[in-house]
Formats: sequence, structure tokens, C-alpha cells
Amino acid sequence: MTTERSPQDLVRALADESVPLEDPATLDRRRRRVVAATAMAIARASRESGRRRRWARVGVPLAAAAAIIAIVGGVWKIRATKQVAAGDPIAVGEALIGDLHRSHQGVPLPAVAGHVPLGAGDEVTTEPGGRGEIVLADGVDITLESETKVRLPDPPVDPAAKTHVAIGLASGTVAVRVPPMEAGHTFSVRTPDAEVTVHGTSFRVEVVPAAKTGVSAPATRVRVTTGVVSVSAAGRETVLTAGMEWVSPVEATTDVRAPVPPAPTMTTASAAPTAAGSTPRPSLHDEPRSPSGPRSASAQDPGAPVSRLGEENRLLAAAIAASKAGDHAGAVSTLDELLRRFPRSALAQEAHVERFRALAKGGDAAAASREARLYLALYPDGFAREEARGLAVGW
Amino acid sequence: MPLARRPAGPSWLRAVPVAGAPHDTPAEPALDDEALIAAVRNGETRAAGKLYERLVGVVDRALFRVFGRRESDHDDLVQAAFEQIVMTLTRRRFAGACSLSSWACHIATHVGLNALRARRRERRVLGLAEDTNALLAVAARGASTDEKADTQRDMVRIRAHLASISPEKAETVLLHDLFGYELAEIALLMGASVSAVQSRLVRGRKELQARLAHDGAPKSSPPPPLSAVPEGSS
Repeated sequence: MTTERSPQDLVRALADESVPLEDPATLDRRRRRVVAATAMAIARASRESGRRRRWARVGVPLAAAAAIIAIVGGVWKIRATKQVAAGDPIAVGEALIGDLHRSHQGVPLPAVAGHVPLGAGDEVTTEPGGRGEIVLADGVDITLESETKVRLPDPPVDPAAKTHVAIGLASGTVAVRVPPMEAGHTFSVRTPDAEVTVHGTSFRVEVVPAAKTGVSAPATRVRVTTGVVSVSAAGRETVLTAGMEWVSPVEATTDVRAPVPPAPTMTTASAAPTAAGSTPRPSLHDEPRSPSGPRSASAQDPGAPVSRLGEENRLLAAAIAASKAGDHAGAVSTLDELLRRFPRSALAQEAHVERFRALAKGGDAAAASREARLYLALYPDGFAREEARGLAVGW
Repeated sequence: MPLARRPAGPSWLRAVPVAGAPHDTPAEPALDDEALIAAVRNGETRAAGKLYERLVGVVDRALFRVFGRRESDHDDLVQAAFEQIVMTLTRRRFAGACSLSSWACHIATHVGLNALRARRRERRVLGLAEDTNALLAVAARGASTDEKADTQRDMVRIRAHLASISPEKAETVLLHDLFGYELAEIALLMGASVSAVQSRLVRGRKELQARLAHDGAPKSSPPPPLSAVPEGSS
């Protein structure tokens, strides 16, 4: 045969194979997914442990009762198991800026730091100017922007089951990255007037409030970064490919628009490079380009002063100056103000970069890592991506 | 008390932080194994990130060694390993007698071997040719004398045979001969006596030797399918 080496030698030789390095985007994607799954496993184990302790306290009488019930019929046990499964976490949420507010059937849930386990049917809301991230058990990654409210699916997300998983988007904007899914397994976002269904892609869905649509009902806007998405609304299904945008008829008369270059804050969180190539860096002097044209541009910041860009520039310059002077907390605070007041600013990318730099210089490595990950999600091809990747995986 | 790990094979490289790298930014104080395990057992979900950072290197390398590459479902396997780690920690199956990274290596090896065996079974059920057999056939025909190709074929052969022998033996052989753990530590990891582990190691090696001889002996004829060798036999 090939060689006459002993089994020990052959097994030891397996250690000689070099382990190739992976690109930072792959490492970051794996980290997000596995950390979320691990957090869910910890929460699940904690619940099970609590149940076991309670069960042990009740002791023999209940064990005897359970034995009798088990003899009478297995139906009760099956139902009990289903109830237990329904209470288990199905996703993990993390606040990137501000706090994440959780509720279940309208009842607020206590705030938890770090990775927050989320159960079926939980509602998650971001604050004005805040941002958050939710990772479902099957690896779907959802970035929540300012003042966004989503509702997690009722049936537990079970990666082993080929199911249709749908989250509800009541208001705000989400950027979604869906990993390749098994055949028969789909994911969708339901808005008040549309349902966006995908099989493995990244896209962005926004519920435009009624106040901004000019009519009494809210509208939905969908933008696809990679892959294929189908949108169902008013009994009609539309298929969108990468770069295409769709707005529900209530907001505009045109349903499907040609591919448009992504605007800075409209860039979808995407792990894979987009077909269109890199995201253009917005000019410091241009108004942000909006795929919805002038109407949307004026609607996004009603009543904004004419000198808005000047104010944005002033805030960014103040933040940079504060950071240079060693006032990193002040820099972060100023950048937060910039992002809160002008969430669609042409300077948003620079603001995010300065924010993670200030956080890192200020010694908050965890927050800097979170901000760097947010930056990568918003600007996968951004000018500071290498620096952000280093920070994102470095913590 | 964690046992020392015996270096195996080539000298090991150690990652050293580079000055000026992002890692220089002061991070939160690192938790030791005990504190990390306590956090997991207390249901602190924010320990997930720290657990991942602590163990991902070990888990990734162990899975890579078992398969010889990162499979398309590598992320699934990493996730499965971490879920198993959490489960075993919270169910007190980890007694703390060895280090957390040793435990993670054991779990990842177990997960990897299970996946390797499952893949082999699937191929057989679906009637697909074994990658191994195809490579062995090439080797038997003497198609290449290139040393590197021979080594690669040997790696494929040994992995195929590790997937065929009993899980305990395969795991013992890998933990000892590949990852360099002492018998006493493997005994702690596997919850068995040292003599039982030694017996598994000796029998596992013998079985591998027999299988290697079996698929290597007939130079004039194509090698028999690996399934011809009784699975799990000792």
C-alpha cells in the first residue's frame, strides 16, 4: 500500500496538517451565531435546572402522582412537554446602542444585561437612536434600528424542523441576514401590509409610519442586498433580486424599482459580498441618496433645518476633537447625539468609525467590539472594515 | 487539579499578542475556569461570549483534525460542540478534574467523530462510493508515487478506519495519539478507569493496524470495501 507506518504514527501525522486561517468575516459570522446559540443553551439549561430543583423539592408524593398519571395515559405528558418547549429561549438579543426593551403579550419583562434570551412570542423594541441585534436559533441575524418593534415567532424555532419561521415587524426598520436554509425551510418578515419571504439572503425591511406616507396607513419598503426575496402584499407576489427595491403601493405608485446604489444607512447587513461590489463611501458634502427619491429624503427628517449638514459636521468635528483631547466618553456622547439626531446622515459611517475608535481608546473593549460589529453589519464594504474586523474579533 | 498536557508530535506554536494590535485594548478581567463554569451554571447568558472566546480555538482545531478540513457544516459542528459543553457543565458531568479546554477538546472530538461516522453511514445507505475507496483504488494501482499524495491517502485511510472502529476506542486513540493527553487525563475525561482507557488504546491501535493491513495488503487487486471489515470489532 502507500506506506508502512504504524497507526500511532499515522494518527500523530494528522497533527502535521496545517489549519488554514479564515477570513475575519467568516470568523465574525461564526462568533455571532455560536455565541447566540450558546447563550440560548445556557438559558435553557438554567430553566431545566430550576425545574429539576423544584421537582426535587416536591419529592415523592408528586413522583407517585406522576407515575399514576403516566399509567393512565401519555397524553398529559406530551402536552406538558410541549408547554415546556414553548417556554424555552428561541433567540438571543443584544443591545448595540441604548437598551432593548422586552415584553410578552404587552407585559414588560425585566431588563437583562448582555445577551438576552428571548422566548416565542416576545416583543423587542429599540429606543429612539438605539440599535439592537437578534439572532434566532437557526442563525438568522436581525439588526434592529432606531424605534423598531419586532415580535418573535410563536412556534419555537427548531433548526431540525423544516418550518416556516416568521417574525412580525410592527414599526421601524430591520436589516436581516438569513443563512442558507434547508429545503422547505423559509423565513419571512411580516409587516402590517406585506410579507417578505426568503430562503437565504440579506435584505432590509422598513415600516414607514403613516405620518410619513401621507395617507392614513403605514407602508412597507423592502430592499434586497443578496439572494432572492419574494414579497406578498394585497394578494400579489413580487420577486426581487439583489439590488432591487420594493415599496408597498400605499407609499408610491411604482412597485418595483431598478437596482439602485445603496445609500449609506440603507446598506443591508450582509456576510457575503454583494453583486454590486463595494458600497460607495458617501461624500461629506452630498445629501444622502435615498432609493425612494426626494419624497423619502424630505420625509425622513421632517422639519429639519436647512443647515442640517453643517450641524452634522459640527458634531462630528467636536467628537473627533474630544477624542484627540483624551475625552473619549465625551466623544462617544457627541457621536451618539449625531446618530440619534441624524440617523440617516451622510456622516453616519464616519460617526460609527469614530465611535468604535473612541470606545476602544477609552478602554471599553466589549463596547468597541459591539460597535465594530454593528459597523460591519451596516457597512460590509465600508472604508474602515479591516480596522472594524480587527476589533470585532479581537474581544 | 488540571493535569499537564504532554506535547505530541511537532512542537506546538503559541499565539503571542502583537504590540499595537486591537487586542491591546484593555478588556474586562478574564474569568478563570472556575468562575466561567460557575457563571454558566448560574444561567448567566453573558458568559456565552467569554466561553466562546476561551474555547473556540480548541473546538475549531479538534474538529479540523478529525475531518482534515473545515466541512460545509463546520459552523453547525462548532455550535453543537458548544451546546454539548454547556449541557455537560450544567448537568455537572464536568467534575473540574481537568482543564476546561481539555474538556472542550474531548467534546469536540466526540462531536466530530459522531459526524464522521454518520456521514460514512449515509454514504453507504445512499449507495455512494466511499471517498476512501476511490482513493485506495488509485493507490493500489500505483497511480502516484508522489510522497505528498501518499501521505494524503494515509490520512484519508486512517480517518476512515477511525470512523469504523468503536467510538470509545477511536476517541481514546485520538485523545492520546493526536492530542497528546495522558491516560490518566483521558480516564477523567471519559469517566473510566485508567486500565480501561489503556485497554481501549491498545485494542484501538491493534484494530487500526489490522484494518490498515487489510486495505493495504492486496496490491494486485482493488482493495475491498471498508464495510467488509466488521464495524466496531475488537
